[in-house]
Amino acid sequence: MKKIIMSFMLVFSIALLAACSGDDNGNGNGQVTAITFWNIFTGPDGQEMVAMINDFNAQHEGEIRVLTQTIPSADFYEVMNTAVPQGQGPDVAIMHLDNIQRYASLSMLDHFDDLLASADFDAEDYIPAVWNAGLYDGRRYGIPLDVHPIGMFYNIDVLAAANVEVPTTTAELIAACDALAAHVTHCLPLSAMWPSQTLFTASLFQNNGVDLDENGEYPAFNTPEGFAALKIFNDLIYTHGVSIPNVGVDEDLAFFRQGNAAFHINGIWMLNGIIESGVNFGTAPIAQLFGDTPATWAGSHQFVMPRGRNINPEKQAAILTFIEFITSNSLRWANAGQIPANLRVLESAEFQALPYHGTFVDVSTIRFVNASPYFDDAFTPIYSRVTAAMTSPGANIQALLDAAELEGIQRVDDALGN
Amino acid sequence: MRLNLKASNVSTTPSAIRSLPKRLEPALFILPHLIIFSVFFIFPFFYGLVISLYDWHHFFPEQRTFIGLDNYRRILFETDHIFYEYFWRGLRNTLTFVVLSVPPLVVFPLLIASLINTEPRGYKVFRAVFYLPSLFSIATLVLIWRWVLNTNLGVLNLTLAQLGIGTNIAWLSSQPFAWLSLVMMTIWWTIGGNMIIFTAALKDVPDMLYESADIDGANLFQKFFRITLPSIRNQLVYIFIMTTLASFNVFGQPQLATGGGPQQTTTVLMMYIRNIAFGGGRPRPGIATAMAVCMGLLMILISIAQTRIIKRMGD
Repeated sequence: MKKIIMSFMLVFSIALLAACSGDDNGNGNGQVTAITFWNIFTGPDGQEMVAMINDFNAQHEGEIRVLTQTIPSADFYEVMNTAVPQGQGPDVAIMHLDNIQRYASLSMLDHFDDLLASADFDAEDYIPAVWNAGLYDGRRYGIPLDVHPIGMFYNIDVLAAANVEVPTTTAELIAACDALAAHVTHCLPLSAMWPSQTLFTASLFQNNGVDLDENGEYPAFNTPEGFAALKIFNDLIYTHGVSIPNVGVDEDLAFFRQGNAAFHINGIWMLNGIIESGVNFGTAPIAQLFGDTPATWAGSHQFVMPRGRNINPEKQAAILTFIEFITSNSLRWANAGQIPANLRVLESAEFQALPYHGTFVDVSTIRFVNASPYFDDAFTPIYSRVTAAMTSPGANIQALLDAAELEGIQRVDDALGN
Repeated sequence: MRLNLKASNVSTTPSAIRSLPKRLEPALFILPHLIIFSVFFIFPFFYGLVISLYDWHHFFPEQRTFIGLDNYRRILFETDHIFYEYFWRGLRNTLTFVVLSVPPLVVFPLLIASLINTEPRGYKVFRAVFYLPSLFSIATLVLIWRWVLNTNLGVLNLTLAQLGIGTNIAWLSSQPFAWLSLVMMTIWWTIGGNMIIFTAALKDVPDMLYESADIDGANLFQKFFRITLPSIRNQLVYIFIMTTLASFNVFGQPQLATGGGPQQTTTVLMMYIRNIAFGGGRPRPGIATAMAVCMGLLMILISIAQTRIIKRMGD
């Protein structure tokens, strides 16, 4: 009896295995083409992405099926690093703009050139800086989905009570905070950790500084401009009292959501979180808040094709159809708290009608970091020094810049094999 | 001779076959664990050793070049190299955490276990309460503590302000508070595991030892140091070593709570290793595994030393 059951189970499991293996890879004979898609959207934007994918799947029922997996961005690149070389990567994935060239240089990505020749993607439809960031070695590795700049949220009621205008320059900000002191506990609390590095980068560009040298290799922020860009955060906190010292991650956000802060600087991805709080707020750009040259830090999510997949023309066509669907529907994506990279969507009446997006940023001021393969090695050492400049009253700004530059140079030296 | 051999063959073969299942039995029992152990420990361990001898490339096998002990030379001796800097700073930070965290991580659970062992009213509730934090994931732990330790909104600073002790201490972004915070949350998180082992150990100490000590007029401290501690020596050694090793592997708390700050003073070696292997910038698996191997060797040496010292203390 036992033997019969055993052999029955064996046959059953073999049948099951066979059934599973036959399913997946469509090859165009009227079968469904399945593509795997890894994304990094864990917030409310993730739910919107899944909804959009479901709509896509419903529209292409019987032809294309997108299977998506959400990986928190903290783990995403680690998973990519291990999966892609093993040929276990997805067919299409989302990647931050500043990583694309590095992954392309490591041969982790396939380019879109052959695909795009036959598709109606038009460079003119995109914000030029975003479109160009997806290029490496003359080939296109990234197709932009969105742009996520930082900007300022302000509490309308608090400003009205003190009869204060929304500040656009450093001097105006300091004056506004003085005027607001009697009306609100905190003016502009500045987190010393995340997202302070994005504020510093914006400040660097606004003070005419640059992140990397012309070759996109070594750090180039240790200049008088970089000094001014870093020093202003120490001054704002310890000289002008714009923010109390030692504000932790999300503490700045919490103050604003409680109505205890007049201003809050964060990414547009925080929009829905701030709407939820019920605070009566407006948005304003930060393009000249730290310096005279208009510039706004922004990141960008882009579609990439990891290398080493079992790829065929049907699959590639399906990937392109999918990307076209998502990017042309990016107004929905805007509602999830991002700014579309597609100019046609940006200029559409529907987008212009959104209450907070238009005033959050002037798209023409958006600046991206030099997305070279060496960006991480050369530039990220400054991040912990930004924190140091914001947490110690008498911080030696020059010493911090020197230390960050040295660390960056040593890392790039190693990366270049010098 | 020939006949003899034949005879022995005849007699042994069947019995060997007959006893084969019997001999395979223990192997079968350990097989599931052996497979998992091999796949997740033995293989990666040796693979790691191999990687550490190469200028390893994740993506282009043909670009991997054997460089012998050069990775080790760079992190251990090449003083003007960034990875020398990272390795020694990381090691210093890890050792700081070990030195700061191991004593309280052994002493507090022992104290609590001793108290629970006296079985006061509701001791079962307390035992459960103390064990509860161990069930949290590291992310949950840090999330809770980040808000407790929050500079301006945290309950700890608000309480201290009420008591008039301190004002707005930056628990996570200034020293020595960052270390204090990390040790504090680690104690809270892991107190339960060690406590359970200690309570089990204390239960096994025969009551008659305490009774005769009472008759001899020993006080509480004498009983603790002369009877309790020697009786639970084995468990103490185990906990001491395991806690030290666990503290060496610290990663989640500084990674998530302080981000390695302020000024990379809490960036422990594991954080550098992960960052160098997988993080931003060009991945350098060779350097990272060489660091991991050095750290592993150090951990082995320290646990051997610990065992020796404790054994000698007992003799």
